[in-house]
Amino acid sequence: MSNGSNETGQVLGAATTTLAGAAGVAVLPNTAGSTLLQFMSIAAIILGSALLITAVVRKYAKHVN
Amino acid sequence: MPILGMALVAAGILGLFLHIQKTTPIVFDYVNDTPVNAAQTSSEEIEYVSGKPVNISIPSIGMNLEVKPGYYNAASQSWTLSETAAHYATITKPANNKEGNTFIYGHNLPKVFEPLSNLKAGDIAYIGTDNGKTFKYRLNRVTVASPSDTAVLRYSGSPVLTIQTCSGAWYEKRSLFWFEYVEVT
Repeated sequence: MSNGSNETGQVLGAATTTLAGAAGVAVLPNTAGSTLLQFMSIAAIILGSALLITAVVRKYAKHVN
Repeated sequence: MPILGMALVAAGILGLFLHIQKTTPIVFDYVNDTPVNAAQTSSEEIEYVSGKPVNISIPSIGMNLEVKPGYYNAASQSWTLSETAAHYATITKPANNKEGNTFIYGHNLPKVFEPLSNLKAGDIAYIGTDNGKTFKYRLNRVTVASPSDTAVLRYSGSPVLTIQTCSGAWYEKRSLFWFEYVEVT
């Protein structure tokens, strides 16, 4: 994620943009938001799956013994 | 332990679902019957009015944001971005009453453009410019593009305002909110 307060980057950006123009732009801005909720959700799914698998394995182990 | 595991899996799936729902706007193409004061009235000679955007306001979603100049760096293929303001792509047209696209972009964050997913057809946006003008626009289209689809930046035609933010489960898409020009005061 770029930082807008970087004035050197802005000046360099202005110069390159002038040269390239709209036709030379390869990508649209990467305006991503926070990924906290995704990572927490995936962590919960992984942890929950691990607990479920552990429970099943334990139950099976008891059954075998 | 199995109950806790099932609860965690369910919570995770629900979290992902809510996230995708929150970051995915409803795509539509709305045809407005009311004619606008734009370049369609080409038979009349309209005085050209323009200005660089410094503020964006969308009352229907309580948005009022500062707009800073945004530059594209071809070497790194990146754009000027901040986490508290929107940016006006300086390679596109300034807000004006004649033609072309005024492109404004910002992060999909609560303080920036996350509320855009609540927009509805016909919602009004106001762009304040550096010379004290206020341009009024009306939302009539929402589209989703891939990051490499830069056609929006080369738009030509009647004056429009396009607002871009990222969308999708991993912000892999670019949502484009197209507003038609209404008037300038």
